[in-house]
Amino acid sequence: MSGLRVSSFFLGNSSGVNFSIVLNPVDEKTGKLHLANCSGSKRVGDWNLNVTRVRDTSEVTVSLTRNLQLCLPNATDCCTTPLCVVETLQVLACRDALVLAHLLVQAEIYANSSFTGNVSENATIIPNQAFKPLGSCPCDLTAGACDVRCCCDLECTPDLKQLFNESCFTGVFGGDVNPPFDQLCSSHSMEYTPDWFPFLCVQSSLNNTPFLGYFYHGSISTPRVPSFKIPLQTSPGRLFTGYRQGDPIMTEENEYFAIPQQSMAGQCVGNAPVAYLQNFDVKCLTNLASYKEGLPHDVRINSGTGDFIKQNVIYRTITNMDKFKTESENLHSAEVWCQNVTFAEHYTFIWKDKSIEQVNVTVFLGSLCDGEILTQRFTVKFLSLESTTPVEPFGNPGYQVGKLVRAANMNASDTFGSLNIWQPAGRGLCTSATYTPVLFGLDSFSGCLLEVDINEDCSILRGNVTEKLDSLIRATHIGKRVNSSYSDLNDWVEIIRLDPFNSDTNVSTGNLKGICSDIPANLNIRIIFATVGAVQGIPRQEILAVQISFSTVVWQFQCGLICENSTSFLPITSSVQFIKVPAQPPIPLTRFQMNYTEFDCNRNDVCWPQLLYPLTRFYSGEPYSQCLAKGLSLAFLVLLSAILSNPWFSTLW
Amino acid sequence: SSQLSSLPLQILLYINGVYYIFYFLATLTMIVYKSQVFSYPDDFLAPDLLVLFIMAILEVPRLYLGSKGNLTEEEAPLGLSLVLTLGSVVLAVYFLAWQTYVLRADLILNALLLSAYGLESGLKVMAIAAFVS
Repeated sequence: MSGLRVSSFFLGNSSGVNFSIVLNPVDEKTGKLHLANCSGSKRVGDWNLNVTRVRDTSEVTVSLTRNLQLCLPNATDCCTTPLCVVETLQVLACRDALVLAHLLVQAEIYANSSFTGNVSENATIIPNQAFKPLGSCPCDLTAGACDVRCCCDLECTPDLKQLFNESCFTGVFGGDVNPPFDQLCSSHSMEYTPDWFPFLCVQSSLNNTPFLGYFYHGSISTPRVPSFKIPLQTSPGRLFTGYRQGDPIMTEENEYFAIPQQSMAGQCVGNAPVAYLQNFDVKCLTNLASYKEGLPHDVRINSGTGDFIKQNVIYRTITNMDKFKTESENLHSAEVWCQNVTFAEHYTFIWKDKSIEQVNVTVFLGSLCDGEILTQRFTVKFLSLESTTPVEPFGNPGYQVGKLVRAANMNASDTFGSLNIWQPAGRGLCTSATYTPVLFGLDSFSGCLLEVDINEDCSILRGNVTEKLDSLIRATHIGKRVNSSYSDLNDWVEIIRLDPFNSDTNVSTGNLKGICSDIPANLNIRIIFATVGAVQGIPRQEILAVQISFSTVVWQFQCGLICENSTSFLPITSSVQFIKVPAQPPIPLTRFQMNYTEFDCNRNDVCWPQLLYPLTRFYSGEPYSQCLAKGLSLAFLVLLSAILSNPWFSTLW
Repeated sequence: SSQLSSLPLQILLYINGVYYIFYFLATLTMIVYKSQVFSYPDDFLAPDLLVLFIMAILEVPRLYLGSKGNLTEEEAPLGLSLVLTLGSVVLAVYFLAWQTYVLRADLILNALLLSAYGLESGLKVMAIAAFVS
């Protein structure tokens, strides 16, 4: 045995059998076993004998109970030499003073070489990596002790190494940081060596490869501790110069004003700061267990000019809780724990220039019971003092992706218009679908299902569908820019409508029921825009034209096995497509540029910059240093031949 | 009038000149070969080539001065040639041991060159001793 414990089995009937352990059963002079004596005990010296009987067999375990720590000589209760225990034992199984079986155990146990002492605070000196590879023995993990199976560890004595010599770690981890490569003269791994190999094999030793210190540049950089703190504004009156678009809104205590918002991953985060002039409308799911109250409403907000404004809070209670909560199963159980929570918060920030003038909050409260799932709704709107429509005056007047497309109805009295697409809800039926406004730059395709009776008249169906789709477009003009004003007609482009081909005559259907052709069920909105400049590096995009057209489908009643008098669904869709056109045509090339193409590598047969490669760094096929070396050697040889051909030189020989 | 010029030295200088041309071409070719077959870390190729060219430039005046000094029996050029030989020895040792990749052929060529240099230096010292006395 070489460990602390070894076990064996005694097979057979073990009733009335006594196990005992005998130390040094072998006579040192003759080498013969002593006569077995059944009067031993289960504990001899440092050795212990444990017997567990299981049905017909008994498991016999011999264990050593002594300290195997390596220590100084002349110390007690520990090992003075690495080879700690070399003993022979005999386990006897006796019944009525008769030996039934005996087991001979030879123990050769080494001292525990794992390091359990004090950890020294001295840092190991790292050798200069320009001359010695860092980590030449990666398995040498403990300093001052021998790491088992690490053959490159210098702290292992040769006889210790001999113990695990066959199972050393291989590869880089075992210290082979510089494996010999095939071209070395000393490597015999290749079966096929080329003919010239004895002359052109690499003679340099592996200790000094050119890659030693390759990554070592010697410069030291001090680590920059990243500070995750909010930059403190020490005196808000002096340093805080107002909010710009996108700045986080701060509270009185110089903390972010946070409202739960949706993070990029999709779930709601509670401590999301509110950005200036950035409206949002989020819905967050929560239940009673994970409900967390937001910022208290008596927190004052930094207005941007140094003073602090209070929030004007209006509390309301929810009557129709079904829009927010989903019922749970244990609603009707006896005792449910309910709590008053906020169902929705609607913030309205009234701003002017770079500061906030007023904050109005409407909080809807309701009771949430254990087991129910609540959809909280948080909206933030920034309203300017002049107009009631949320618009950003400064910054980029052009459209950005995600902005609302301005629409106006010049025929109406209040010139207010809207351009929407379907937003289906519930089962997707058009009766329950709502509208969502068209956002710039976001191509979308949505629709809803219209229930159609089998007996529906085709022209009535056409009218119905057209009316539904027309309700999406409540505008006659679309604004060219975000800040188009209603008074200036030049700021608006007229919507080009391509109405569906209106045919009142019974063209093809005749008297067929359940099939209608030419149903204008798809609305296509094409918005053409262009980049007409840039503001502070951000391109300014304007809408040039808007076209609305209808695509027709043939609707057919979908029967089941038998055509019953039920309803079928007709999908009505609306799609928005944003098409970018160049604002100006590309600048025409001058005749000079077209004819004299010397330095244009695309149109020229000879690419001069690439041909004069070492002088111009145009080509990137070969490494620059190699090409330079070859060029210089060529130049040298030319010079040499020029010199040697000089007749004065021939007199030297 | 006994002739003090050393004939073995002159022969050695002549052989050295011929051998050096061969050595230079061979080493240059091998450097080109090594740069294709092996990968040189950043900017290690340039020093090797530079040292080779410096050695070539050093060799011409060294042989000329040695030959002239021996034939005209003057010790000054011979002494200067000896000093230049020292420089060449250092460069030859560079190619023997400190080069980026040392091939066995490099070993052989440089060993021969170093032995030629050693022999030459010995003969030059003897020639200087003969001229001075």
